[in-house]
Amino acid sequence: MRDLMLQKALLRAGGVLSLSALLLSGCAETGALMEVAGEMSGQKSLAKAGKSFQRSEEVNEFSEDEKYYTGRTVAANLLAGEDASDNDDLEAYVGKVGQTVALASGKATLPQGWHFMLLKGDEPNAFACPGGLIFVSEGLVKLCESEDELAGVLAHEISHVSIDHPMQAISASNRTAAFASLASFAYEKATEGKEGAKMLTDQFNSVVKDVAKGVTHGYDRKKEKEADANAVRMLAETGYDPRGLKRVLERLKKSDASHGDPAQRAADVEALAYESEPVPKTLSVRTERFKKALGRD
Amino acid sequence: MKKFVPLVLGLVLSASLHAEATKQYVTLDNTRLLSKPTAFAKPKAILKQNAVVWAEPAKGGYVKVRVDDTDAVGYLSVRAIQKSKTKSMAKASRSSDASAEEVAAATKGFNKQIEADLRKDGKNEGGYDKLDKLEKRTTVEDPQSNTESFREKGQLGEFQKGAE
Repeated sequence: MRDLMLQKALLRAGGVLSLSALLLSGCAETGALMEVAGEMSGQKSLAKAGKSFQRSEEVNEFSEDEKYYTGRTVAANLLAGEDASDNDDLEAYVGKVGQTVALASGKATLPQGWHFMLLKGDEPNAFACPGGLIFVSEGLVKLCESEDELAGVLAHEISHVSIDHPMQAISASNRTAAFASLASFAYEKATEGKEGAKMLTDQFNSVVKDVAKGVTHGYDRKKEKEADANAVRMLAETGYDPRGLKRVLERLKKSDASHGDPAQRAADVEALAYESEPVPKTLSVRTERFKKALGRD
Repeated sequence: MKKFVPLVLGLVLSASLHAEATKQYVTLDNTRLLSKPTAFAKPKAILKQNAVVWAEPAKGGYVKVRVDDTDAVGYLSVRAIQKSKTKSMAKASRSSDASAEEVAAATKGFNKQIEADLRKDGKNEGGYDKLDKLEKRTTVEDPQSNTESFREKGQLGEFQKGAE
Protein backbone atom coordinates (compact mmCIF):
# COMPACT_ATOMS: atom_id res chain seq x y z
CA MET A 1 0.00 0.00 0.00
CA ARG A 2 2.82 2.39 0.85
CA ASP A 3 4.46 1.49 -2.44
CA LEU A 4 1.28 2.41 -4.23
CA MET A 5 1.07 5.79 -2.52
CA LEU A 6 4.71 6.40 -3.35
CA GLN A 7 4.09 5.51 -6.99
CA LYS A 8 1.18 7.93 -7.17
CA ALA A 9 3.24 10.72 -5.63
CA LEU A 10 6.12 10.06 -8.02
CA LEU A 11 3.77 10.01 -10.97
CA ARG A 12 2.22 13.31 -10.01
CA ALA A 13 5.65 14.82 -9.47
CA GLY A 14 7.18 13.39 -12.62
CA GLY A 15 4.35 14.15 -15.02
CA VAL A 16 2.27 11.97 -17.24
CA LEU A 17 5.03 10.98 -19.62
CA SER A 18 6.89 9.20 -16.84
CA LEU A 19 4.08 6.65 -16.86
CA SER A 20 5.45 5.10 -19.96
CA ALA A 21 8.74 4.42 -18.27
CA LEU A 22 7.15 2.30 -15.57
CA LEU A 23 6.68 -1.36 -16.14
CA LEU A 24 4.22 -2.25 -13.45
CA SER A 25 1.78 -5.07 -13.05
CA GLY A 26 -1.39 -5.97 -11.19
CA CYS A 27 -4.79 -4.40 -10.74
CA ALA A 28 -3.81 -2.01 -7.99
CA GLU A 29 -0.91 -0.53 -9.94
CA THR A 30 -2.94 -0.33 -13.12
CA GLY A 31 -5.73 1.41 -11.28
CA ALA A 32 -3.30 3.84 -9.66
CA LEU A 33 -1.88 4.79 -13.03
CA MET A 34 -5.33 5.24 -14.50
CA GLU A 35 -6.43 7.34 -11.56
CA VAL A 36 -3.42 9.65 -11.80
CA ALA A 37 -3.64 9.85 -15.59
CA GLY A 38 -7.32 10.69 -15.27
CA GLU A 39 -6.76 13.37 -12.67
CA MET A 40 -3.93 14.97 -14.62
CA SER A 41 -5.81 14.95 -17.89
CA GLY A 42 -8.99 16.24 -16.30
CA GLN A 43 -10.88 13.09 -17.21
CA LYS A 44 -12.96 12.39 -14.15
CA SER A 45 -14.36 9.19 -15.63
CA LEU A 46 -10.88 7.79 -16.15
CA ALA A 47 -9.86 8.67 -12.60
CA LYS A 48 -13.08 7.13 -11.31
CA ALA A 49 -12.55 3.96 -13.30
CA GLY A 50 -8.99 3.83 -11.97
CA LYS A 51 -10.22 3.94 -8.38
CA SER A 52 -12.72 1.21 -9.16
CA PHE A 53 -10.00 -0.85 -10.82
CA GLN A 54 -7.79 -0.60 -7.73
CA ARG A 55 -10.55 -1.89 -5.50
CA SER A 56 -11.53 -4.73 -7.76
CA GLU A 57 -9.64 -7.98 -7.95
CA GLU A 58 -12.16 -9.31 -10.41
CA VAL A 59 -11.16 -7.50 -13.57
CA ASN A 60 -7.88 -9.29 -14.08
CA GLU A 61 -9.57 -11.80 -16.37
CA PHE A 62 -10.19 -11.15 -20.04
CA SER A 63 -13.79 -11.81 -20.98
CA GLU A 64 -14.42 -14.22 -23.84
CA ASP A 65 -15.64 -11.29 -25.96
CA GLU A 66 -12.34 -9.48 -25.44
CA LYS A 67 -10.46 -12.64 -26.35
CA TYR A 68 -12.58 -13.00 -29.48
CA TYR A 69 -11.92 -9.46 -30.71
CA THR A 70 -8.23 -9.83 -29.96
CA GLY A 71 -8.27 -13.10 -31.90
CA ARG A 72 -10.06 -11.47 -34.82
CA THR A 73 -7.38 -8.82 -35.15
CA VAL A 74 -4.59 -11.41 -34.93
CA ALA A 75 -6.40 -13.55 -37.51
CA ALA A 76 -7.03 -10.59 -39.83
CA ASN A 77 -3.29 -9.85 -39.82
CA LEU A 78 -2.44 -13.45 -40.58
CA LEU A 79 -5.05 -13.80 -43.30
CA ALA A 80 -3.66 -10.86 -45.22
CA GLY A 81 -1.08 -13.21 -46.71
CA GLU A 82 -3.23 -16.35 -46.95
CA ASP A 83 -5.96 -17.63 -49.25
CA ALA A 84 -9.00 -19.51 -48.04
CA SER A 85 -9.47 -23.00 -49.42
CA ASP A 86 -12.17 -23.40 -52.03
CA ASN A 87 -12.79 -27.00 -50.96
CA ASP A 88 -16.01 -26.38 -48.99
CA ASP A 89 -16.75 -30.07 -48.43
CA LEU A 90 -13.34 -30.73 -46.91
CA GLU A 91 -13.67 -27.65 -44.71
CA ALA A 92 -17.10 -28.83 -43.53
CA TYR A 93 -15.61 -32.23 -42.66
CA VAL A 94 -12.67 -30.68 -40.79
CA GLY A 95 -15.25 -28.57 -38.95
CA LYS A 96 -17.22 -31.66 -37.86
CA VAL A 97 -14.07 -33.26 -36.44
CA GLY A 98 -13.02 -30.02 -34.73
CA GLN A 99 -16.46 -29.30 -33.28
CA THR A 100 -16.62 -32.85 -31.90
CA VAL A 101 -13.24 -32.56 -30.17
CA ALA A 102 -14.06 -29.05 -28.91
CA LEU A 103 -17.00 -30.50 -26.97
CA ALA A 104 -14.40 -31.96 -24.59
CA SER A 105 -12.44 -28.71 -24.29
CA GLY A 106 -14.26 -27.48 -21.20
CA LYS A 107 -15.14 -24.42 -23.28
CA ALA A 108 -17.68 -25.92 -25.63
CA THR A 109 -19.97 -22.91 -25.44
CA LEU A 110 -17.71 -20.04 -26.46
CA PRO A 111 -19.94 -16.98 -27.11
CA GLN A 112 -19.03 -16.80 -30.81
CA GLY A 113 -18.50 -20.56 -31.13
CA TRP A 114 -15.51 -22.49 -32.40
CA HIS A 115 -14.53 -21.97 -36.03
CA PHE A 116 -12.38 -24.36 -38.07
CA MET A 117 -11.18 -22.71 -41.24
CA LEU A 118 -9.27 -24.32 -44.07
CA LEU A 119 -6.50 -22.43 -45.83
CA LYS A 120 -5.16 -23.05 -49.30
CA GLY A 121 -1.64 -24.40 -49.69
CA ASP A 122 0.44 -27.55 -49.43
CA GLU A 123 2.62 -26.32 -46.57
CA PRO A 124 1.54 -28.14 -43.38
CA ASN A 125 0.47 -25.42 -40.99
CA ALA A 126 -2.05 -24.68 -38.27
CA PHE A 127 -2.61 -21.84 -35.88
CA ALA A 128 -5.06 -20.97 -33.16
CA CYS A 129 -6.25 -17.48 -32.30
CA PRO A 130 -8.00 -16.38 -29.10
CA GLY A 131 -11.77 -16.69 -29.13
CA GLY A 132 -11.84 -20.09 -30.87
CA LEU A 133 -10.58 -19.25 -34.37
CA ILE A 134 -8.63 -22.27 -35.63
CA PHE A 135 -6.89 -22.32 -39.01
CA VAL A 136 -5.54 -25.43 -40.72
CA SER A 137 -3.85 -25.63 -44.10
CA GLU A 138 -4.88 -28.13 -46.76
CA GLY A 139 -1.29 -29.38 -46.60
CA LEU A 140 -1.60 -30.37 -42.95
CA VAL A 141 -4.90 -32.19 -43.55
CA LYS A 142 -3.24 -34.06 -46.44
CA LEU A 143 -0.32 -35.00 -44.20
CA CYS A 144 -2.77 -36.94 -42.01
CA GLU A 145 -3.72 -40.50 -42.86
CA SER A 146 -6.80 -40.90 -40.72
CA GLU A 147 -9.54 -38.93 -38.98
CA ASP A 148 -7.89 -39.78 -35.65
CA GLU A 149 -4.68 -38.08 -36.78
CA LEU A 150 -6.60 -35.01 -37.96
CA ALA A 151 -8.42 -34.95 -34.62
CA GLY A 152 -4.99 -34.98 -32.92
CA VAL A 153 -3.87 -31.90 -34.84
CA LEU A 154 -7.09 -30.04 -34.08
CA ALA A 155 -7.07 -31.10 -30.40
CA HIS A 156 -3.61 -29.57 -30.03
CA GLU A 157 -4.76 -26.24 -31.50
CA ILE A 158 -7.99 -26.25 -29.46
CA SER A 159 -5.88 -26.82 -26.35
CA HIS A 160 -3.83 -23.68 -26.96
CA VAL A 161 -7.06 -21.67 -26.99
CA SER A 162 -8.78 -23.41 -24.08
CA ILE A 163 -5.65 -23.07 -21.90
CA ASP A 164 -5.39 -19.42 -23.02
CA HIS A 165 -1.81 -19.58 -24.32
CA PRO A 166 -2.32 -16.76 -26.87
CA MET A 167 -3.92 -14.49 -24.27
CA GLN A 168 -1.13 -15.17 -21.80
CA ALA A 169 1.30 -13.81 -24.37
CA ILE A 170 -0.87 -10.78 -25.02
CA SER A 171 -1.28 -9.99 -21.37
CA ALA A 172 2.45 -9.78 -20.81
CA SER A 173 3.18 -7.43 -23.68
CA ASN A 174 -0.09 -5.56 -23.46
CA ARG A 175 0.67 -4.34 -19.98
CA THR A 176 3.73 -2.40 -21.06
CA ALA A 177 2.22 -1.10 -24.27
CA ALA A 178 -1.06 -0.15 -22.66
CA PHE A 179 0.65 2.05 -20.09
CA ALA A 180 2.67 3.82 -22.72
CA SER A 181 -0.44 4.35 -24.85
CA LEU A 182 -2.54 5.39 -21.92
CA ALA A 183 0.09 7.90 -20.87
CA SER A 184 0.23 9.36 -24.37
CA PHE A 185 -3.55 9.39 -24.57
CA ALA A 186 -3.87 11.15 -21.22
CA TYR A 187 -1.14 13.62 -22.13
CA GLU A 188 -2.90 14.44 -25.41
CA LYS A 189 -6.14 14.98 -23.56
CA ALA A 190 -4.43 17.23 -21.03
CA THR A 191 -2.84 19.32 -23.77
CA GLU A 192 -5.93 19.23 -25.97
CA GLY A 193 -4.11 17.18 -28.56
CA LYS A 194 -6.16 14.85 -30.73
CA GLU A 195 -3.72 12.11 -31.58
CA GLY A 196 -3.90 10.25 -28.26
CA ALA A 197 -6.78 7.95 -29.16
CA LYS A 198 -5.21 7.17 -32.53
CA MET A 199 -1.90 6.36 -30.88
CA LEU A 200 -3.70 4.08 -28.49
CA THR A 201 -5.29 2.14 -31.33
CA ASP A 202 -2.04 2.03 -33.30
CA GLN A 203 -0.16 0.76 -30.27
CA PHE A 204 -2.56 -2.11 -29.86
CA ASN A 205 -2.26 -2.92 -33.53
CA SER A 206 1.49 -3.26 -33.08
CA VAL A 207 1.03 -5.45 -30.03
CA VAL A 208 -1.32 -7.74 -31.93
CA LYS A 209 1.23 -8.08 -34.73
CA ASP A 210 3.78 -9.26 -32.16
CA VAL A 211 1.28 -11.74 -30.80
CA ALA A 212 0.52 -13.01 -34.30
CA LYS A 213 4.19 -13.95 -34.59
CA GLY A 214 3.82 -16.07 -31.47
CA VAL A 215 0.67 -17.71 -32.81
CA THR A 216 2.33 -18.67 -36.09
CA HIS A 217 5.76 -19.63 -34.75
CA GLY A 218 4.56 -21.61 -31.77
CA TYR A 219 5.03 -21.34 -28.04
CA ASP A 220 7.79 -22.38 -25.68
CA ARG A 221 8.40 -26.04 -24.97
CA LYS A 222 6.45 -26.01 -21.72
CA LYS A 223 3.31 -24.62 -23.34
CA GLU A 224 3.55 -27.00 -26.31
CA LYS A 225 3.85 -29.91 -23.88
CA GLU A 226 0.90 -28.64 -21.90
CA ALA A 227 -1.18 -28.38 -25.08
CA ASP A 228 -0.17 -31.92 -26.12
CA ALA A 229 -1.12 -33.34 -22.72
CA ASN A 230 -4.48 -31.60 -22.81
CA ALA A 231 -5.02 -32.79 -26.39
CA VAL A 232 -4.35 -36.40 -25.40
CA ARG A 233 -6.91 -36.14 -22.59
CA MET A 234 -9.53 -34.62 -24.91
CA LEU A 235 -8.90 -37.21 -27.63
CA ALA A 236 -9.23 -40.15 -25.26
CA GLU A 237 -12.39 -38.67 -23.78
CA THR A 238 -13.90 -38.13 -27.22
CA GLY A 239 -12.98 -41.63 -28.34
CA TYR A 240 -10.24 -40.76 -30.81
CA ASP A 241 -6.96 -42.68 -30.71
CA PRO A 242 -4.56 -40.23 -28.99
CA ARG A 243 -1.67 -41.98 -30.73
CA GLY A 244 -2.92 -40.30 -33.92
CA LEU A 245 -1.26 -37.08 -32.72
CA LYS A 246 1.97 -38.98 -32.16
CA ARG A 247 1.92 -40.32 -35.72
CA VAL A 248 1.43 -36.84 -37.23
CA LEU A 249 4.25 -35.47 -35.09
CA GLU A 250 6.54 -38.22 -36.33
CA ARG A 251 5.68 -37.29 -39.90
CA LEU A 252 6.33 -33.63 -39.10
CA LYS A 253 9.82 -34.45 -37.82
CA LYS A 254 11.48 -33.56 -41.06
CA SER A 255 9.31 -30.65 -42.09
CA ASP A 256 8.62 -28.61 -38.97
CA ALA A 257 10.51 -27.99 -35.77
CA SER A 258 8.94 -24.62 -35.03
CA HIS A 259 6.53 -25.95 -32.40
CA GLY A 260 9.17 -27.74 -30.34
CA ASP A 261 11.10 -30.89 -31.23
CA PRO A 262 8.48 -33.14 -32.91
CA ALA A 263 10.40 -36.34 -32.05
CA GLN A 264 10.43 -35.53 -28.34
CA ARG A 265 6.83 -34.41 -28.45
CA ALA A 266 5.83 -37.66 -30.21
CA ALA A 267 7.53 -39.70 -27.49
CA ASP A 268 5.81 -37.68 -24.75
CA VAL A 269 2.42 -38.00 -26.45
CA GLU A 270 2.79 -41.78 -26.72
CA ALA A 271 3.61 -42.07 -23.02
CA LEU A 272 0.62 -39.91 -22.13
CA ALA A 273 -1.67 -41.87 -24.45
CA TYR A 274 -1.04 -45.09 -22.56
CA GLU A 275 -2.14 -43.40 -19.35
CA SER A 276 -5.68 -43.46 -20.75
CA GLU A 277 -7.48 -46.59 -19.74
CA PRO A 278 -8.56 -48.04 -22.10
CA VAL A 279 -6.76 -46.42 -25.06
CA PRO A 280 -9.28 -45.79 -27.88
CA LYS A 281 -8.43 -47.41 -31.21
CA THR A 282 -8.29 -45.87 -34.66
CA LEU A 283 -11.49 -47.21 -36.26
CA SER A 284 -11.78 -48.03 -39.94
CA VAL A 285 -15.23 -46.41 -40.14
CA ARG A 286 -13.62 -43.06 -39.35
CA THR A 287 -10.60 -43.59 -41.59
CA GLU A 288 -12.93 -44.41 -44.48
CA ARG A 289 -14.87 -41.18 -44.14
CA PHE A 290 -11.59 -39.27 -43.82
CA LYS A 291 -10.39 -40.75 -47.12
CA LYS A 292 -13.72 -39.97 -48.73
CA ALA A 293 -13.53 -36.34 -47.58
CA LEU A 294 -10.06 -36.08 -49.12
CA GLY A 295 -11.08 -37.88 -52.31
CA ARG A 296 -8.70 -40.74 -51.55
CA ASP A 297 -11.33 -43.48 -51.66
CA MET B 1 -23.92 -43.06 23.01
CA LYS B 2 -22.69 -45.47 20.33
CA LYS B 3 -25.72 -44.52 18.25
CA PHE B 4 -24.36 -41.02 17.80
CA VAL B 5 -20.88 -42.04 16.66
CA PRO B 6 -21.79 -42.50 12.95
CA LEU B 7 -23.69 -39.21 13.02
CA VAL B 8 -20.73 -37.36 14.52
CA LEU B 9 -18.34 -38.99 12.06
CA GLY B 10 -20.65 -38.05 9.21
CA LEU B 11 -20.78 -34.45 10.35
CA VAL B 12 -16.99 -34.30 10.69
CA LEU B 13 -16.56 -35.82 7.21
CA SER B 14 -19.09 -33.42 5.71
CA ALA B 15 -17.38 -30.45 7.36
CA SER B 16 -13.97 -31.52 6.09
CA LEU B 17 -15.30 -31.97 2.53
CA HIS B 18 -16.89 -28.53 2.64
CA ALA B 19 -13.64 -27.07 3.97
CA GLU B 20 -11.80 -28.45 0.91
CA ALA B 21 -14.32 -27.00 -1.56
CA THR B 22 -13.39 -23.64 -3.03
CA LYS B 23 -15.65 -20.92 -4.37
CA GLN B 24 -15.40 -20.67 -8.16
CA TYR B 25 -17.28 -18.97 -10.98
CA VAL B 26 -18.55 -20.50 -14.22
CA THR B 27 -16.61 -19.08 -17.17
CA LEU B 28 -19.19 -19.33 -19.97
CA ASP B 29 -22.93 -19.11 -20.49
CA ASN B 30 -24.81 -22.33 -21.24
CA THR B 31 -22.25 -24.51 -19.45
CA ARG B 32 -23.55 -28.04 -18.90
CA LEU B 33 -23.45 -29.34 -15.34
CA LEU B 34 -22.59 -32.96 -16.08
CA SER B 35 -23.90 -36.08 -14.36
CA LYS B 36 -20.52 -37.83 -14.80
CA PRO B 37 -16.95 -36.53 -15.24
CA THR B 38 -17.02 -36.64 -19.04
CA ALA B 39 -18.08 -34.07 -21.62
CA PHE B 40 -20.55 -36.51 -23.17
CA ALA B 41 -22.52 -37.28 -20.01
CA LYS B 42 -26.12 -36.15 -19.72
CA PRO B 43 -26.45 -32.61 -18.35
CA LYS B 44 -28.13 -32.14 -14.98
CA ALA B 45 -28.52 -28.40 -15.44
CA ILE B 46 -27.39 -25.55 -17.67
CA LEU B 47 -25.38 -22.92 -15.83
CA LYS B 48 -24.98 -19.23 -16.60
CA GLN B 49 -21.72 -17.31 -16.77
CA ASN B 50 -20.51 -16.27 -13.31
CA ALA B 51 -22.76 -18.80 -11.54
CA VAL B 52 -21.15 -19.59 -8.18
CA VAL B 53 -20.12 -23.19 -7.55
CA TRP B 54 -18.25 -24.89 -4.73
CA ALA B 55 -15.58 -27.07 -6.30
CA GLU B 56 -13.78 -30.04 -4.80
CA PRO B 57 -10.16 -30.73 -5.81
CA ALA B 58 -9.78 -31.67 -9.48
CA LYS B 59 -9.44 -35.26 -10.64
CA GLY B 60 -8.53 -36.04 -14.24
CA GLY B 61 -9.61 -32.75 -15.75
CA TYR B 62 -12.97 -32.57 -13.95
CA VAL B 63 -14.15 -31.24 -10.63
CA LYS B 64 -17.16 -32.21 -8.59
CA VAL B 65 -19.15 -29.09 -7.82
CA ARG B 66 -22.17 -27.95 -5.86
CA VAL B 67 -24.08 -25.07 -7.41
CA ASP B 68 -24.45 -22.35 -4.80
CA ASP B 69 -28.02 -21.23 -5.43
CA THR B 70 -29.67 -24.58 -6.27
CA ASP B 71 -27.50 -27.09 -4.37
CA ALA B 72 -27.38 -29.20 -7.54
CA VAL B 73 -24.32 -31.47 -7.57
CA GLY B 74 -22.47 -32.50 -10.73
CA TYR B 75 -19.21 -32.25 -12.64
CA LEU B 76 -17.52 -29.48 -14.60
CA SER B 77 -14.30 -29.35 -16.60
CA VAL B 78 -11.47 -27.53 -14.84
CA ARG B 79 -11.48 -25.19 -17.87
CA ALA B 80 -15.13 -24.26 -17.26
CA ILE B 81 -14.53 -22.50 -13.94
CA GLN B 82 -12.24 -19.80 -12.61
CA LYS B 83 -11.42 -18.18 -9.30
CA SER B 84 -12.74 -14.74 -10.21
CA LYS B 85 -15.80 -13.42 -11.95
CA THR B 86 -15.62 -12.54 -15.61
CA LYS B 87 -16.03 -8.80 -15.62
CA SER B 88 -14.76 -6.75 -18.48
CA MET B 89 -13.35 -3.30 -17.91
CA ALA B 90 -15.93 -1.89 -20.29
CA LYS B 91 -18.65 -3.27 -18.05
CA ALA B 92 -16.81 -2.20 -14.92
CA SER B 93 -16.79 1.40 -16.05
CA ARG B 94 -20.20 1.39 -17.68
CA SER B 95 -21.44 3.97 -15.23
CA SER B 96 -18.88 6.46 -16.48
CA ASP B 97 -19.28 8.35 -19.74
CA ALA B 98 -17.72 7.95 -23.18
CA SER B 99 -14.30 6.93 -21.93
CA ALA B 100 -15.45 3.38 -21.19
CA GLU B 101 -14.27 2.09 -24.55
CA GLU B 102 -11.01 3.99 -24.27
CA VAL B 103 -10.40 2.64 -20.81
CA ALA B 104 -11.23 -0.86 -21.98
CA ALA B 105 -8.80 -0.52 -24.86
CA ALA B 106 -6.05 0.84 -22.67
CA THR B 107 -6.27 -1.83 -20.07
CA LYS B 108 -7.72 -4.93 -21.62
CA GLY B 109 -7.15 -5.27 -25.31
CA PHE B 110 -9.52 -5.11 -28.22
CA ASN B 111 -13.23 -4.70 -28.56
CA LYS B 112 -15.68 -4.11 -31.38
CA GLN B 113 -15.11 -0.36 -31.30
CA ILE B 114 -11.35 -0.67 -31.64
CA GLU B 115 -11.79 -3.08 -34.54
CA ALA B 116 -14.14 -0.59 -36.22
CA ASP B 117 -11.53 2.16 -35.78
CA LEU B 118 -8.83 -0.04 -37.30
CA ARG B 119 -11.05 -0.91 -40.26
CA LYS B 120 -11.95 2.75 -40.77
CA ASP B 121 -8.25 3.52 -40.99
CA GLY B 122 -7.96 0.88 -43.71
CA LYS B 123 -5.73 -1.34 -41.57
CA ASN B 124 -6.06 -5.05 -42.38
CA GLU B 125 -9.39 -4.44 -44.05
CA GLY B 126 -8.64 -7.23 -46.52
CA GLY B 127 -7.85 -9.59 -43.66
CA TYR B 128 -11.04 -8.70 -41.80
CA ASP B 129 -13.11 -9.21 -44.97
CA LYS B 130 -11.60 -12.66 -45.52
CA LEU B 131 -12.18 -13.52 -41.89
CA ASP B 132 -15.82 -12.39 -42.03
CA LYS B 133 -16.46 -14.71 -44.99
CA LEU B 134 -14.66 -17.63 -43.34
CA GLU B 135 -16.44 -17.14 -40.04
CA LYS B 136 -19.81 -16.98 -41.74
CA ARG B 137 -19.35 -20.29 -43.51
CA THR B 138 -17.88 -22.09 -40.50
CA THR B 139 -20.45 -21.00 -37.92
CA VAL B 140 -22.13 -23.98 -36.28
CA GLU B 141 -25.21 -23.45 -34.15
CA ASP B 142 -25.47 -25.90 -31.25
CA PRO B 143 -22.43 -28.14 -32.00
CA GLN B 144 -23.63 -30.73 -29.47
CA SER B 145 -26.73 -31.51 -31.56
CA ASN B 146 -25.14 -30.67 -34.89
CA THR B 147 -22.42 -33.31 -34.54
CA GLU B 148 -24.56 -36.03 -32.91
CA SER B 149 -25.01 -38.07 -36.06
CA PHE B 150 -21.30 -37.62 -36.88
CA ARG B 151 -20.40 -38.93 -33.41
CA GLU B 152 -22.77 -41.85 -33.70
CA LYS B 153 -21.44 -42.97 -37.10
CA GLY B 154 -17.85 -42.56 -35.91
CA GLN B 155 -18.49 -44.25 -32.54
CA LEU B 156 -17.38 -41.17 -30.67
CA GLY B 157 -18.41 -39.45 -27.46
CA GLU B 158 -21.38 -41.20 -25.89
CA PHE B 159 -21.39 -43.70 -28.79
CA GLN B 160 -17.89 -45.09 -28.14
CA LYS B 161 -17.43 -48.82 -28.45
CA GLY B 162 -13.95 -49.71 -29.64
CA ALA B 163 -11.21 -49.50 -27.02
CA GLU B 164 -8.23 -51.62 -26.18
